[in-house]
Amino acid sequence: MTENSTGLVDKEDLRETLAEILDIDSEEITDDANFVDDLGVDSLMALEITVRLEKKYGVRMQENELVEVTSLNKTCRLLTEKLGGQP
Amino acid sequence: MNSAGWVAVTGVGVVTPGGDDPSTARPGDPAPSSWFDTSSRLGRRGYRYLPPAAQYLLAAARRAVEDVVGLADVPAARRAAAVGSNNGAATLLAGMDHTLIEQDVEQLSPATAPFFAVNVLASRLCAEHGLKGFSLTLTSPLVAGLEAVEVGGRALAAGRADMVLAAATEDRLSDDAPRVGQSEQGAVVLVLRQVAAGRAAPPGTVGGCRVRTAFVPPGLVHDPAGARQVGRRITALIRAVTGTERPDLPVHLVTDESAVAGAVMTALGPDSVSSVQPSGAGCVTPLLRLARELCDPPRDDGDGRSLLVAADEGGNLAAAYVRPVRTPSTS
Repeated sequence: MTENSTGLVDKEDLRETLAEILDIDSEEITDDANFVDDLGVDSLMALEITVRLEKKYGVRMQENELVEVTSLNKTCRLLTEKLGGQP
Repeated sequence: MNSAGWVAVTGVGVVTPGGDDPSTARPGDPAPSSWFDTSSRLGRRGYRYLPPAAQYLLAAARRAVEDVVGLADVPAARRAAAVGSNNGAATLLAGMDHTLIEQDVEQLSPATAPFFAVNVLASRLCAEHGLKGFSLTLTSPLVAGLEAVEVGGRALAAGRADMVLAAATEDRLSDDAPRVGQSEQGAVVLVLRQVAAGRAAPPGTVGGCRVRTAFVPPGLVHDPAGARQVGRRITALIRAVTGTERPDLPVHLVTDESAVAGAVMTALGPDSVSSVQPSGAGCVTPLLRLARELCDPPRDDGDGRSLLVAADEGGNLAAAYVRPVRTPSTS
């Protein structure tokens, strides 16, 4: 397992997915770039991210978990946990 | 002519599949969806989530304001928007219907969901141009764009704003819509400023106009007395914008083949009508015609002043007196 992959969630694939959703270059989505402060994500786009990730990974995110969707690393960790892996 | 309801137009922006020049633009051109490239026209970071009609509106507004003088001096609270649209959200709503019927509400895209309300089409426009005075959305079939100019003019005259972006924007109808073949795509945006009596027109004025709209029950035209009533209504509109019922002006009529159109034509007098332009399924064509008369009036047709009349089968009527001068007179 590489550092970019947990086996369940490929971080680079997630980066590309987020870049596609946010309509920005994947290079802008650094591991710790804050979605709101650094990438200008508003509440609607945050919901869009959540819905698209739920579809892609086949998971359901609870409302209290959405606060974790603030950066690539944190999102990757949350998805990995949801899929039953070790973050 | 007195100054009541007379507005100066200081900027014009047009975006259509048939081109962006007001003199040659065509909103009804059949075009592949790729005719408008969101990234190159507007940029990235979420513009693609806006409904096409909102994107066209933004692109046309950027063109309209790019050469406007003194816009930065107008406080945000004194800037406003009046936007007309008949079908700006139609395709989006049809798509939402399909999603709800075939899947469920959770499959709706959160980023596009707010646009189920047609008055949200102008939200990004207002944010981008700091339009905090008011934002009105007009939806009267065919005449909503002209109505936006009328409402904008009234707001300026009432002192509710110092600058109004008056617009029409439309998107293609969905494939199963009855009038899909008459779809309009694109937007027209006019920058309106007040012309105060006795004062010079704002810098950069490309012309001026005065618009009035009205509604008549379309069933009136089914008997001769009712048809004459429709005729009197359009005559009253013409008098309201020009000061006389029979102005010595080229008359351009944008309309359909309905009985209402026939009654309007009879009232105008067929010999008095210089041109008849078929209307589309939307409100862009009449406002585009107004923009064309402002920006590119016929050189062999008097001094460029003209009267634009619009009428549709539903009884929506409009008259616009257009004066394409660099410094419109107010007296």
